[in-house]
Formats: sequence, C-alpha cells, structure tokens
Amino acid sequence: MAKNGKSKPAHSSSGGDGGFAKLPSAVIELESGFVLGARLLGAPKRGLRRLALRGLDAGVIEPSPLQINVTKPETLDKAIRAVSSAIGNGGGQTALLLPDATVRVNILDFETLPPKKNELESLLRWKIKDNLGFAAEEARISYQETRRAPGKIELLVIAVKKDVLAQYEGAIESTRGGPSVILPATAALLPLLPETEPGVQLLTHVCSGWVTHALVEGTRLRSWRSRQLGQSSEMAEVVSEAARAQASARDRMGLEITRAWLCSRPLLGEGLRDSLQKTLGLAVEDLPLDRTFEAGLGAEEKPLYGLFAAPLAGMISNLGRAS
Amino acid sequence: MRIRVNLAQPEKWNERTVYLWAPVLILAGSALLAYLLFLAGSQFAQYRKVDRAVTRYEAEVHETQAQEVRLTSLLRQPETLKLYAQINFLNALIEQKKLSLSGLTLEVAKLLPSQVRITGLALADTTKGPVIEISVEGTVNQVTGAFLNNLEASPDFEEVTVIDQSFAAENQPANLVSLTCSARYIGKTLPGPEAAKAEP
Repeated sequence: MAKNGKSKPAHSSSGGDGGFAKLPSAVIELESGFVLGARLLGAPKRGLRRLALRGLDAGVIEPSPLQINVTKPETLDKAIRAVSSAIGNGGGQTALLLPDATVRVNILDFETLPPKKNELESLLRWKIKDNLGFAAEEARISYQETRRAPGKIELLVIAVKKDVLAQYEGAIESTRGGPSVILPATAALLPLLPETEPGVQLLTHVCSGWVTHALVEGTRLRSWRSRQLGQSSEMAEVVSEAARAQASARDRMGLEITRAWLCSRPLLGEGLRDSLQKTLGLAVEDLPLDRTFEAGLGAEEKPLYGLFAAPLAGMISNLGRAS
Repeated sequence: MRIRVNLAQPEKWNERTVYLWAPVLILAGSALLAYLLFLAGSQFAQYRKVDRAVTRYEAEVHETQAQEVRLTSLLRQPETLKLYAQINFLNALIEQKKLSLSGLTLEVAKLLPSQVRITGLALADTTKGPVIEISVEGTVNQVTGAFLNNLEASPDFEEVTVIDQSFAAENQPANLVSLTCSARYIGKTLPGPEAAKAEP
C-alpha cells in the first residue's frame, strides 16, 4: 500500500522475482476431484477460447502441504492429456492452479524491510518456518506487499514445499512445458472481489473436499483458513468453518464481515447458500464472473464456465487490474 | 484484490526464447563441429601421410646405415685390404706410366751435360712401351761420354741404341758431333705392391 492507500507493486518474489505481467495462453487447474483446462484468448482480447473438464477418481490427488500429492501419476497424466487435447495444445505459456491445501499462506507485519532481496527472503523464511511444517529451505516462497504505512509493512507470503510443487509441475510439463504462473486456486479468486467494498469481505471457496475462507479488507488479505471436509457432512462443515472464520475475524482482529461470497466447485448443494446466510447473518453472493469472458466458448463449454471457471475469470480480471 | 504472488520460477529471457535461438545455435554448432571434424580429419590424413613418409625415410636411413656397416665390415676384410693395396699399386703404376712430351723433355734434360743441346726429340708408342728418339749435339767427349753414360745409367730409360752419329762439317768446330739415339722409356722406379698396402 502506498501512502495514498492504493497498493503498489512492491516486493514480490517466487524464489526470486515473481508476479506475472501477462496472461499465459493456457491454464490448467489440478484439484483432487477434477482437472480443468482452458485456452485463453490472445491479447488484447480477454476471455476464454476453449474450456475442458475431466473428473478424477478419489485418491489420484491427495492435497497436502507436506507429503506426496499425486498418488496415481498415470491416471492424472491421462486426464491432463485429455484436457490438453480438448483445449488444443497451441504452445505458449501455461498457468497452473493448485489445490489450496498444498500451500501455506502467511500474513506478516514488519516495521522495515531489508533492502536486499535475498536478505528479505531469508527473513521471510525465518518468520514462517514455524508455520510450514517442513524445513524453510525446502519451501518455494512468493510474497507481495499488501500494506505500507509509516513503521508498518504488511506482506502476504505464500509458501509451498518444493518437492510437492515439483509433482504438479512435472505433471503438466510433459504436455505443456513448465508453468509460467502458479497460484493456489483461491488466490486466483481474490481479484474477483471488489476492491471498492468499504467493509470486510468473506470468501468461501469449496472445492473437491476442501474449504478455504479468505478474509479481505479492501486490498488486504487479512486471513486465510483452509481445511479438509469430512466425507459425510460436508455442507455442515463448510457452514461451521464459515462461522469460525467470522468469529475469528471479530474476536481476534475486530473485523465485522459486511459481505460474503461463495464459490463452490462443484456446487455442494442448494441448501449451502441458505445455511451460510443464516449462520453469517449476511446475504451470500456468487462471485461476480465477467460474462464477456465466456463469449468465445462453445455452447457445450459455457455451462462449465459458471460452474468451474471462477479462478480463470479471476486470473483474467487480475491482469485487467494490473493493466 | 490484485494478486502479484506467483509460485512459478520465472523464466529468464534466454530461457523463454530458447526455441528461437537454440535451433540456430545447434545448426551453427553442428556446422562448426563438422568443419572442425573435417579439418581434423584432413590434418590427421596429412599427418599420417607425413608420418608414413618419415617412417619410410627412417627405414631407408636404417637400411643405408646397415648397408654402410655391412660394407664397412666387408671393406675391412683382409681380402679387400689386399685388393686395395693392389689397386693402389696399379694406380701408382698407371700414374707413373703417364707420359708427356714436356715431361719426357725434362727427364732427358736432366741427363744432358752442360755443353750438349737437344736438336730433336721424338716419341713413338710401341708394343713394349714408349720409345724416344733423341738427337743431341755437343763435343765428342760430352756426347759420347757423359750423355750416353747418363742415358744408359738412368733408371727411366733402357735399351739405349745409337742410331746415327756424324761429325762436324767443314765450317764447324772439329770436335763437334751430332748423335741420334733411341731408348725405351720405362719411367721412374715404381713402388712395389707392398708399399701401397698402407693406403686403403
């Protein structure tokens, strides 16, 4: 955040210099329940040209920040090839969206930052080491400044274990080359939240047996909670987790949620929104997807856009903000 | 909220454009490699050629050295040394047998007493060797005495024969005589074969 309150592209790194200034030509999202692939329209147009989805059986991907995630690489490879074939392997760079469970998200406060990048990275690794669950040296980290005020700098730091990430990178490298952008899926949803909202926004992202709650205040990510759902009562656990996020925001940060958003992929049930609304005491809205992004899709692909492609829309919107 | 985090390892410029310049580089590298291989091959062929020539010349040198040793040893055998001695002897003989008119004149001049002069000198080659015919003029004593004695005593001449003798005419001194004689020239005393043995 600059002095005028707007965010500025300050520190950003993924083991070096991170961020992305332009959209890749294709996006592959790997979740424990599905593989989603999209071919994007080339600049200056913004939107999707092709979209394809393949379901995955349970156990092919078991998201974890610590252990082996891809337990059946052949099955996953087959699904990725099918999706790649459907969207067309037209070359260009690829973005990879990961399950939220693979990453560790930290929000850190500093009074000052070391001027040198490697010193800053060392400091960040030292600060997050207790939250990682694995050696800090094994982490690939990426960070961005979310707030800057006199004597107070806030950084959003995302870390992933290198060998866990290598599995996902390796899974798509055989078909599309190394990814140029890697994000957890919920991070790709954040650009869809309106920055002009004066209050605090709660995003509930349910995807493939996991739920992530992100608390956003203006341009600041205030909280990130990710949790695996039980097999039997997923909806109840999502609601319960949302209630915890709300209570935590209120009690620990003194924040009152004024707007709630829901993204469930696939849709968990019609009753989820009502339950959330009832629990949170707020209207729970669907994420605002830009419908112009789906203009290039075929008739059979368009339904997928509303159901699964919210992170893709978020990535495209993010580039719009950057420009 | 704008996201700037990215967990991907960003590719550097040269990594992004590797597909453009790598084929060119590979082609250029291959061409350079082929050229270097060709160069190395031709250099190697030339080296082999020179090496073969050197080996051949070395073999020839060895052969020649062996021949030299063989011939040297052959030349040092007693038969060869004896042959050398005989050759030297013959060469010396041939040398001594060489005869020229000027040389013969000198030989004859050595035999002349002071008051005797040569009035004619002829050389004829016969089957027995060169025969000279000398005409001298002088006083009786010097011509018939000293000159003929000297000629007969000389080891270079033998078979001295007086062909003609005439006394002085009326208008000449009374004791003046002209003498014509012949003698076979046998040259100087020759060294024997034993003396030539030391020269091979």
